[in-house]
Amino acid sequence: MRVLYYALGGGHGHVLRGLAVLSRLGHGTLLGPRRLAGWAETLGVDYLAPPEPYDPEWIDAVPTPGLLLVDVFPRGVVAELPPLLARTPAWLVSRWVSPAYYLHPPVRAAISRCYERVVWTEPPPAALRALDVPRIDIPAVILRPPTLTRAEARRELDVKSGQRLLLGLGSGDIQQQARLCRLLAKVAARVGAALRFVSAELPPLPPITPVFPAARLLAAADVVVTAGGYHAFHETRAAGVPTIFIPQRRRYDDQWQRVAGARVATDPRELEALVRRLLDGVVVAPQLVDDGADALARLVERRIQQRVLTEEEIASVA
Amino acid sequence: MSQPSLHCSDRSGFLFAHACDRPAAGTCSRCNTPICVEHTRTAPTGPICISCLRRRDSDSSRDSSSSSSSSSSSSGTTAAGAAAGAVAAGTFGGAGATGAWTGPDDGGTRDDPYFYGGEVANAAYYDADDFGAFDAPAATSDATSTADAADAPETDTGAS
Repeated sequence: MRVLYYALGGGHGHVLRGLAVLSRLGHGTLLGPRRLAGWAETLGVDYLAPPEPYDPEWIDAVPTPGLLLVDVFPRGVVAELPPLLARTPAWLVSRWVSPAYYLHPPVRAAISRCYERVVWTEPPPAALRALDVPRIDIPAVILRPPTLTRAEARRELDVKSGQRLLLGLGSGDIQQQARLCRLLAKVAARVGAALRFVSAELPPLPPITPVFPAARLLAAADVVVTAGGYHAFHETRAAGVPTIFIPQRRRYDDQWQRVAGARVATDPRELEALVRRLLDGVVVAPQLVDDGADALARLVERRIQQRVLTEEEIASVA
Repeated sequence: MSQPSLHCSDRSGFLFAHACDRPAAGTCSRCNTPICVEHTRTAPTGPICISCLRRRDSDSSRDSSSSSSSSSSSSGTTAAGAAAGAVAAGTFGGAGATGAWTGPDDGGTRDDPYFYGGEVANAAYYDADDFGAFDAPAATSDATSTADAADAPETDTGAS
């Protein structure tokens, strides 16, 4: 195994970044939660999940890769990674993260001791520039699957011609997804729009659909409503679809800072008002964003081939 | 008639849905849930709770609007039906007002504060579960708890 992308930690974002990088790389294995293995199968990415029930010794059986990529969580303090970190070079692939977490002395020491580089896929908080590990800054790492046209996407979502579509993207705790879906159904009824709600966790009963990757279908929507997670934020920007964010509280992320300056709803009536306004016709231009997943895949390939990366090589790719 | 439970189960409020702490005085003739005196109204079928009465008004209002305005009713009804179906199936949980009361032909609810129209009815359309879909931003002091939590295995979930 040449590359192992470690994407455990619970959320969608870790797995999605891993899928984005490994699908560009064309090889490597993604280590993620069992419940998301279907996503890797869809994209033809090799996938490994910890055993159930969990066995703390399982990591010893994982073949040593040429390079270990660890997504966001260093897990070198109390979790299962130390044996693997001791026998292979590792990069920490990170997005914005609460500074107090990485600067917590045991975590900071683990990052300094075990990681060759920190790859920032979003600008880090200023406080994290204090980390004494060489850093690489790259654009957002998102899937960028081949997208469907608006007509194709609406057909796939079974939306009638002329119907306005409110598209919800579910994430986070399943109860929170259920609450948002229920709320959006009420909003959709009030504004006279159809609703589709993308969720990998809720039962796939209308209006819920488990489509993956949802980024293929964003053109179908007149308005997207989503939390302020990494992928939803960067993918909707790249697609240029009118989006309303409902940031969720996370222990190691700050969705409010990510969506600062974008349309944010803080209660149901504000959400309904924003949906009405956007349905009246708001044109949002897609943002031209460089391909961070491609940049990271090329850096990883060079690192494996040459063992050492020069700053010039990094600058030419990132 | 089944024995009423200790507390009223109707969560209807003037503005927002909330639990009722009054003792039950009977049961709703439509949904059979225990209801207190405050939440009891009279219908041809017998005592009826505020939630059922609002739902009835909402249904009749939707029926009349779908017959007069065909341009938006089909998609709206589809979405509302999906929500109602999901709630009925227990998918989304929670209770409370699920329809907006708008009609003046109210069968005796015109002067009832539970059925006031305009802004009050609009506000009541969204219940506590709907407001629960919104998180409050973390306080700045959370940085400390974040650092403390770093000693525990990471269990971040959802979008990241």
